[in-house]
Amino acid sequence: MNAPTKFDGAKPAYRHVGTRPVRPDGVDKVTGKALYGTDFKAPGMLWGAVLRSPHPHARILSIDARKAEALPGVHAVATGKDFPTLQSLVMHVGEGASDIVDVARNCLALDKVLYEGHAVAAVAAVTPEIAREALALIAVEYEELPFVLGLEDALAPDAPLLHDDVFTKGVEPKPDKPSNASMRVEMGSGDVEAALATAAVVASGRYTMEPVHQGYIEPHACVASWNADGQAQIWCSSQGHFAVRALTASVLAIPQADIRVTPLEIGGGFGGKTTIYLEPVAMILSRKSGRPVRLAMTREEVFRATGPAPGAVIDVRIGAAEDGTLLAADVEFKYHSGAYPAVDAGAGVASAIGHYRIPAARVVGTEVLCNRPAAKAYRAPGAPQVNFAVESAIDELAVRLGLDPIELRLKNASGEGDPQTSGVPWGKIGWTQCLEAAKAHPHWSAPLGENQGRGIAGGYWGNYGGPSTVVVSLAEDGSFVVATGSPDIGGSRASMAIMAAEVLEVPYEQVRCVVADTASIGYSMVTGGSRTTFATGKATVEAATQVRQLLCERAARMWNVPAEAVEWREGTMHCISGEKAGTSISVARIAPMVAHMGGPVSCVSAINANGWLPGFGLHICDVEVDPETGHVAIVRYTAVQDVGTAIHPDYVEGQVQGGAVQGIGWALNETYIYDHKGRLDNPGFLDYRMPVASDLPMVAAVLVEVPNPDHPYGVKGVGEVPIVPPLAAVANAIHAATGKRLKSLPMAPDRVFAALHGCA
Amino acid sequence: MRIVVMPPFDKEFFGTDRLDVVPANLFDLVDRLDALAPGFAAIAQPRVHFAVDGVLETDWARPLSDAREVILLPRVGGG
Repeated sequence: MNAPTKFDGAKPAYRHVGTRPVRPDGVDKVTGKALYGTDFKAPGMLWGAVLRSPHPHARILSIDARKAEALPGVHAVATGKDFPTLQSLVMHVGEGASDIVDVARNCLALDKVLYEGHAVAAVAAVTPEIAREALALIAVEYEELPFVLGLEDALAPDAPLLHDDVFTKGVEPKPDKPSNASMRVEMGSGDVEAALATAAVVASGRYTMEPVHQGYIEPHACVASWNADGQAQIWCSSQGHFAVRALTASVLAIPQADIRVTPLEIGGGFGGKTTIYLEPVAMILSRKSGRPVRLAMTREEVFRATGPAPGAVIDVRIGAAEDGTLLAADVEFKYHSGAYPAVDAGAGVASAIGHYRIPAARVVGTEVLCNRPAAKAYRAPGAPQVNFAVESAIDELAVRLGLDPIELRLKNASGEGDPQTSGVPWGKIGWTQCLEAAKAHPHWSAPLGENQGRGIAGGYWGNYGGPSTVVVSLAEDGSFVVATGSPDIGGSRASMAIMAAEVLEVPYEQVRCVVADTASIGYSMVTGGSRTTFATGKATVEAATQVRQLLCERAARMWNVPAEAVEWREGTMHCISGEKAGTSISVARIAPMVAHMGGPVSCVSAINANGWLPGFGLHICDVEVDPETGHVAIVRYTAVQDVGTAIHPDYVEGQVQGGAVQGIGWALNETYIYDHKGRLDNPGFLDYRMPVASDLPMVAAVLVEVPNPDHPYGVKGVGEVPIVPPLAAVANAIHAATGKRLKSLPMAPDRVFAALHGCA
Repeated sequence: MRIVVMPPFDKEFFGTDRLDVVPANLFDLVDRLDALAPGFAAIAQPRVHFAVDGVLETDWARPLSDAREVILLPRVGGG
């Protein structure tokens, strides 16, 4: 009865889906046994270290590593010249398109350094101390170049150019001069200016923020071992070991099959671990030294050299009629790409205003190169920034029109069949249901105290499906193993085991899930894009269904009856007709015998999962503002989200809470601070202030379930949506508390104090 | 069949947002578009999503004989 069927709306009664069993990786993690990137060691391993540029922009005139190479204990030195000559090739691995030439140059600079912290050389030695000592012996001669950090500074006609071969894409006529604007994306329809002219109220403003980091606790780390026969192994934590394999093989110009990447546990990624930084460098050092080489970043290196989310300048105008009907929107934003072209503008355009029906709209995004680390994906990449501006403007409209902000959103909310900004219609989305759930939640009508205010914001993220491979195998004792190629970041091993157990109608503990290495299972895309529970889950359900069918066929052969005479119930095969009617055999009893009736039972599903649906959320935030210091305390926070079906609600709630907390940190405290020499001033958690548990109340996660009809159990991606609304929800709450609308992030005490006391 | 080219691909490759092409499937469409704008095929897989009659399609071999519209739009990566 629990076999997956095409979902048609009403939620069936599930055996396991929706339960909250203990996660299978929990004991290892809470006892410290789990092997993360920096925990792994190989026999004979050398310790690596990376020399990084002190300059934000400079030409490398020479690198003299002779003294370092002569230091006792040093086995190898690598520079950008150790990479093969590469031709430009745009690849979609990880979570975006990257040119492998840029990927290689970012791992080790060749002719120019493009940001402070850009890797220049690397050393492998018998101890970490000797490796660091050797770094100091490498002489790099630089010619310093003018640098640029700011978005509008980088677009100025006389701005220093980072690349002389980047011409703005997406504009006509095609430019004949290189530019720091790498891409421009414009979408929309209707006569925006005419519609704005008819509006009763137009909310407008410029919203700004600096880049922020993903803030994962575990730094990047890997061990690489490249044998003389050309075969190699890499052990690392990442969001996708197949992406690590593909990128590393591409930048080193070797066959992917020569590299076996074994995934280790991952201590957070949030999009930032969908690329490579260290792996090819460790490979080169290993090849040169003939020994395994470990490379691991310090926290400071993580901040200085790994991808942040883009900072932004966003100009917005949204007009509404007297009754709150939205008439027009004009949104134009610029995002930092950092050192190399990125791909967030398209996502920002797609994520700006699609949650509302607006007859006339124009959304323009520009990606801007500057002398900062190359921007990388961060949870709903490109969406939170533009959403901050749009949802602040929507709040302003509600205030000025004297309308309830939820009612205003309900009045204009997009629904199934309405067009997105691209013109593609929305599928079965749950945005209106989220708004209704928020309106009905006790938080929305709870009283507020002195100096307190309440704000809301809504947002969405498109989610994804994509390729996944899963093998479900029957063990000789009747237990099952689910092998996936998807690193487990948010509890996916538990979710896969739940879905397989649901199909097989066996106890959850009878199914164990592992993450297999690149040589042991077929290709799987990264764990990112909120795709894993949807796509890998679909593959798990399909493979488990095959196992179930195969076992029924085996039982039918054993009983010498037609296959249709065997029925699967409660993990047991029952003969329902013919001579053997009434006979049954459990999985545990048939398992030891399957080898004698056709061989082991192991079924693979390799799919490119279609039918994903976006997620929507509505956040309610209460703040208390200290008028004497400008400190903003979050006193209550509720995140409402359409999650499709929650396979393991604990982990779904955890995703919602984690995303909300990261968004709150973005809103209140987090920012990159550079000095006048283009050097990062706050490369550590002491000065880069992320929220900790004691900063926040319990975030209430309200799961709205509008099942996805294209997933056997109704799954929609959940991990990215919750970081989208908090920036504006917090800002709108501060406005409600103080009457001041803050348009620059973070809304740290100094900014709030200045707004309150007119000393901005 | 209507082929709608969304930004930035309209300006980056074709100089128009509407194309008159009748492809057998999405592989065929990519080939035909590459003939119109050399270089498009190289970026299609990493940068382009195709929506066939309003639904994003990952199976490029799916026949398009009954399709009314294909929209080319930027592929969005998550985090």
